[in-house]
Amino acid sequence: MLAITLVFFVLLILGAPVAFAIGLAGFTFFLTSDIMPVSIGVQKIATVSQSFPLLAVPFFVLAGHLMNESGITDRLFKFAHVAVAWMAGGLAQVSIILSTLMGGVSGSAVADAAMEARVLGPQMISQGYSRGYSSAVIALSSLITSTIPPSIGLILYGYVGQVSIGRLFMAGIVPGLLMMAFLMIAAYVVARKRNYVVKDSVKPTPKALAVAAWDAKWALLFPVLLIVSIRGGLFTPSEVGAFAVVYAIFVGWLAHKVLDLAAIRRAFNQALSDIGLIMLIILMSGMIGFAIIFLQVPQQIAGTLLGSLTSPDVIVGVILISLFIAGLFFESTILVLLLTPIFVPVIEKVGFDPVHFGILMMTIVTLGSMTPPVGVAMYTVCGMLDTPLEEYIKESLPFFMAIFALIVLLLFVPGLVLFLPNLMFG
Amino acid sequence: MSRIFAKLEIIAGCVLLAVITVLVFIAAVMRFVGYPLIWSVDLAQLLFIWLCFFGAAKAMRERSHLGVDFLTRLLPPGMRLVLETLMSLLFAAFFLVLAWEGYKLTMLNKERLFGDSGLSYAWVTIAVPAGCLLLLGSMISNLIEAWRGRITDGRYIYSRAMSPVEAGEIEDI
Repeated sequence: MLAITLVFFVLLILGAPVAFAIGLAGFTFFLTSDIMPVSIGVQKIATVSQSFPLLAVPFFVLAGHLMNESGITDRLFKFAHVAVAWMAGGLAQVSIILSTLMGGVSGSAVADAAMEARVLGPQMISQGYSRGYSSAVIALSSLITSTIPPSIGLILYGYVGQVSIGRLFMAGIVPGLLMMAFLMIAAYVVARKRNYVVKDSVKPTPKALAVAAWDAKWALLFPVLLIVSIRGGLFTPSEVGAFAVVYAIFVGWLAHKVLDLAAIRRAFNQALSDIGLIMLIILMSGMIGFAIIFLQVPQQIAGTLLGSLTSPDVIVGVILISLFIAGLFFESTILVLLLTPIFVPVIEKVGFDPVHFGILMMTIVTLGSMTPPVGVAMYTVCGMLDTPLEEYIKESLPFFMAIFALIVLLLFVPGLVLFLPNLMFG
Repeated sequence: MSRIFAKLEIIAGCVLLAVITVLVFIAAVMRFVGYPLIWSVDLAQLLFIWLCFFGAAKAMRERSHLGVDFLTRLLPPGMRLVLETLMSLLFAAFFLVLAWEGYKLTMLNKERLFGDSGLSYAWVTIAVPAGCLLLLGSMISNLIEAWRGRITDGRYIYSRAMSPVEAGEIEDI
């Protein structure tokens, strides 16, 4: 295990693509093992692709790109604008609502942050919002997409940890909505103090709100359909992913009349690259995943933790804190792939619900994408809006506090997470 | 030559993505109305790994595979290119060993069938060597481009100084 870890970290520090660092690290196991032939390593890569739940990844990635091209994003933006732009910190509220709505149609935090930095960022700055505040709101609100279904991270967690993806999807809804509320409050408090308001904006009349909602009906309907079709295992998440692709094409083509062949080609093209880079990491992790199980790493970690700590709460606490620290340095996909098989058996042993843990884990590791030193969402937004990192860090504090408060609440009130999946799946 | 090949790769990947979606969509609809099609999902599952590798090769050409660059970013461009070249040699060796072992493995269990579809499982395992060769091809083509002095726009062999999002660039067929 030492050699594997060493190879992984050395390659990573030298700037190797994560997929190759993970692949070579896993390959080290087969090279150095006396019992395992190298061809089994190849076998493990191929085996990963034989999981039906994983097919949900390409479908939801493609659906996300198609929905961008279908005018769904635009309409959600207009709806969010009409609904909350009048509040204190109006555009910040729009960003938070938009992330929540986008969470229901696409599954990636970084994509959401990049889209909002492009659409909302310049507007916020020209309205007099500080660059740090604008960037912090946009980056941190994208965290909402990590728990609202369909979340690519939850699909991976469910696949690696052998947890029902349908249940995870249901479990993410309430935490996602609560995160929206917590972030909106934080944005409101800061904006109130600084008098960030959109000039000559008025509270929308119920009629105006209804018109905007009607314009966005196909977009708003999608998350509802998603939940209804997964409920009780009627369709599997992968099947729903295929429906989502077809839905996005029909809405863009027939209802919104903006999706032409060129737009479809663009969406496929971008989706193909995204799928390639996500899936190569997942395929390559097949070898290291096997090594982790073969070398009984989960049992050893469980032994150490259970031997030195007695209270289950403390064990879960220690695991969550180590996830947070790991999240500061690593991308969430890698952490989910590498740490889920290690931690899920441990928390199950102390009687913690794996669905509950999955939601906490996803929130915590994705949060790392918004923090220094390595945060993809943070760098993307700050890069696009020209925000100095110090300013981002200072302005993001109220939002981090809101997220921490939420995580603590979710940790100690499991019902918030587990109520919906238990209701829908029994 | 390499450009034509890249285009073919993209077309193959997009076609696979469309076919897999349609297969799973039809299977779900048929199952719902009471006529399940087993082969449809099986075929989608078999094609999935090919989709992954075509996508991975495309991402390699675009230099968009994620890596941690907070240290390499500090290097002068020339040094970074040398480092990436050395790393690429290591990756090339890795791809070649995987390809060779994958080929042997495929030949060993040609007989194994895939689900109930009657298709050979070899179609899945052979995707690993084929995919490694595709990745190797894109990497070599990037290496040649980088050494021909194109690193001025921030592109190295498998990484780039600016992310595609920041550059606001969209690759088209």
